[in-house]
Amino acid sequence: MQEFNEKNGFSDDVFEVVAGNSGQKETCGSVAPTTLYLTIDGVSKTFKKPLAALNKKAAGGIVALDKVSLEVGKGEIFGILGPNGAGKSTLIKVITGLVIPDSGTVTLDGLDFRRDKHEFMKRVGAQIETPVFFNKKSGWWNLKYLADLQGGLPDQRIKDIVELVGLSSRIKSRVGTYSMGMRQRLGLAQAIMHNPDFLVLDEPINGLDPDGIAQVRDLIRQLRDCYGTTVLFSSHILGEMQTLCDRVAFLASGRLVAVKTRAEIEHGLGDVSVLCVVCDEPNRAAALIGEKYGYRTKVQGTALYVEVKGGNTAEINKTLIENGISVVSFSVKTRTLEEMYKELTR
Amino acid sequence: MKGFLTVFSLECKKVFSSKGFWIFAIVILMLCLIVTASFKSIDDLLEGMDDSVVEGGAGATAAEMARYYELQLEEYRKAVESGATEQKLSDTTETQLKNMIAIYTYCDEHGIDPDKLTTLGTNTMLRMSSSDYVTTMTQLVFAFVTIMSIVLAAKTFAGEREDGTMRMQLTRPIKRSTLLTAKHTAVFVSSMATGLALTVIFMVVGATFFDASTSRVVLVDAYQNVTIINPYAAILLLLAIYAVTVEVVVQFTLFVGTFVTKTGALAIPLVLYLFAGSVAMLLYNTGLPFVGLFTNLSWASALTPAGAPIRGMSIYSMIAVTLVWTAAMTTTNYLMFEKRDLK
Ligand SMILES: Nc1ncnc2c1ncn2[C@@H]1O[C@H](COP(=O)(O)OP(=O)(O)OP(=O)(O)O)[C@@H](O)[C@H]1O
Ligand SMILES: [Mg+2]
Repeated sequence: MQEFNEKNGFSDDVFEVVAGNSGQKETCGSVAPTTLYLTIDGVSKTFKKPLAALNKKAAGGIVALDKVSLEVGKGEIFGILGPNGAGKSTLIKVITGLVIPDSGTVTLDGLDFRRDKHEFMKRVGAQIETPVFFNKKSGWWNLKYLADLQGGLPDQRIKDIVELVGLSSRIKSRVGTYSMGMRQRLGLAQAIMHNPDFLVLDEPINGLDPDGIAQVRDLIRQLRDCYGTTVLFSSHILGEMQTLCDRVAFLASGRLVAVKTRAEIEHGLGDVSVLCVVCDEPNRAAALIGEKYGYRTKVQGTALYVEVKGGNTAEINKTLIENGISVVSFSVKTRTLEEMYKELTR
Repeated sequence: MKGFLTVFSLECKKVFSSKGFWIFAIVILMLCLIVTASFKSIDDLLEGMDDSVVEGGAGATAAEMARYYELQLEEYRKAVESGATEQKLSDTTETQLKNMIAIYTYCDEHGIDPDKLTTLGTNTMLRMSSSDYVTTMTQLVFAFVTIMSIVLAAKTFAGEREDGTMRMQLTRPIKRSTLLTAKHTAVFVSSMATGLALTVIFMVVGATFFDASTSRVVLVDAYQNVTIINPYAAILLLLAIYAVTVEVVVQFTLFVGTFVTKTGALAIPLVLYLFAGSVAMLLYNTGLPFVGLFTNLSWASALTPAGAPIRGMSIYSMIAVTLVWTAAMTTTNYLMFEKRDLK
C-alpha cells in the first residue's frame, strides 16, 4: 500500500495535511448529521436572453431550477444526481453565488447568502464544472494566486496539498500543458487548501483515473470523519454516489424529485421490487397478474417483468402455478441505484 | 479596504507577470525610438538650411499676422450673414480664427516671437527642441498606452469572465464590486505606469539628442484667453489629460465588456478610439449639438487653437460631460455585474 501510494504520488498522511496543523492528530469517527447546516429554500432560476432578463414577468427562457428546497446536515456527505441539463451545476452555482436565483434563499450555518456573503463564502471551498485556471501560468502560480485572494497560505501548506492531490511532479509546469485529470486535481487542491467547513464539488471525479477516484473518495470521507466537513457533490458515477453519500438528491429538469438516504438506496425503493418470471405463457400470466393484483407488467420474449408492491411474491408464484402456467425461473430483483435513477429522473 | 488592496495587488501582479504586457511595452518603446530617429534626421537635415526657406511665414510680424486673421474672420462673418455659408453649432472655423487673432495679438503686446511658440498638439517637426520632442513623444506614447489599456481591460474583465477564470476568483470571499474596482484600478495604474516610464525615457532621450531651446507652449481657452506655459508644465498637463483619457477608455471598455464577449470588448473601443477622429469629422458636418459627447476624448484640443468640438464650449463643460458619462457607465457597469450570472 505504501509503495502504491508513493508510486502514484499520493501522500499517506492525509489527516495531517488536511488539518493544516501537522502533528496534532484528532480522533476520527463518523459525525452524525444531526444539526442543520445548509438550507436551500424554494430556489428558482430561469435563464433568459439578456434583454428578456430585464422583464422579470416575461415568459420563456430555460428553466434550470424550479422551486428547489433541500436541507443538508452538518458533516453530511450529500450527493446530487440527475441527467445532463438537470440543473445540478446551476444549483451549485447558486450556492456559491455565481448564479443569482430569481427567487429563494440559501442559508449556510445560519448565514443568509445575500446578507452575509463574505462570511458565507469564507466557509466554502468549491470546484465547479471543469476547473479553469490561467493556462499560461504554472499550477503553483495559480494556487498561490487563489490562496492570496483569500488572505494567503504558507508555502508549506500549499506544498502539502499539492502532494496530497498527487501533482508534485508537475506543479511547476504551465496549466495549459496539464491533462484533464491533472486540472481536476488542481481544482480539488484549490477547493480544499483553506480547509473549508463546507466543500462543494461539481463532478469532482470526472476525468480522473481509478487511483484518482479512489483517492478523492478517501479524501472526502476523511475530511468528513475527521473535521466534520460537510460535502455536497454532484456526479454521474452512480457507484461512487452509492458508496460515498449519506443522502442523494435526484434532480430532473430543474425539479427536485426525491431525496434518498443510503439505506433506502441499498434496500430498494420502499417495498417496490421487480419480479422476473420466465414461463411458457408470459402473455396469459401478465393478464392474470394484471387482473388479480393490478401490478404493472412487461413481457420480453419468454420473460415477464412485474413491478411488485409489498412482499406477496410467493402468492404470485402460487397463482401462476394454480392456473397451469409452468414457471421455469422465478427471481426477485431489488432495484439498483441505476434503475432508481432512471425511474426518478424519467 | 484590505480586501481591495489584496485583490488590486494581485491584479497588478498578474499584469506585470504577463509576457504579453512586456512585449507590448517594448514594441511601444521601439516604435517611438524609430520616430525619434526620424525626428533627429529631419532636424539634422534642416540644420544647414536657410531659416526663411524653412519657415514659410517667418517674414511677417505678429501684428501683421493678427491683422491677416482679422480680415479672414470678417470675410467669414460676411459669408455667414449673406447666407453663403451656413454656420453650424459644432462649426469651429470662427473659434479657430478668433484663437489665432488672440495668440498673435498676445505675442505683439508682449513682444514674443510667434515662431518660438508651440501648441499642445504640436505638429512642427522643424527645428525640434527637446521640449517639443518630449510633448510630441508623450502624445505618441499615450496613443499606444491607451490601446494597451483597452487590451488589458478587455482581457481582465470580459476575457476572464468568458474563459471561466473569474469563477475561481469569485468563489472566494470577495465582493463582486471589490473585484471590479480592483481590476479597473489595476488596468489604469499599470497603463499609466507604462506611459510615465516611457515619458521619462523620452525626457532623457530628448535632453541628450535635441537642443533645449527657449520654446514655450501656448494655450487658448474658449474665451480666447491666452496663457503661455513652460514646456515641462505642458508635459504635466498632457499627462493629466491622458490620465483622464486612459480612465475613460478603461471604463468604456469595461462597460462594453459588460454586454459583449472579449472580442467585442476589444474591437469596439479599439475601433472607436482609432477612428474617433474620423467619426468626429463626420459628426462635425452634421452640426448636431451632441457631438461633444462623442469627441470628449480629444479634449486636449479645447486648449489649442483647434478649439473645442462645440463652438464656444469650454474645457470645464467638457470635463463635466466626461464626468457625467463616466459616472453613468460606472453605475451601469456595477449594477449589471452584481446581477450577472457567471459561467
Ligand atoms: N448561462 C446559461 N445560460 C442559459 N442557459 C443555461 C446557462 N447555464 C445553464 N443553462 C441551462 O440550464 C439547464 C441546467 O444546466 P446545468 O449546467 O445546471 O445542468 P447539469 O445538471 O449540471 O448538467 P451536466 O450533467 O451536463 O453537467 C440546462 O438546460 C442549460 O442549458
Ligand atoms: Mg454540470
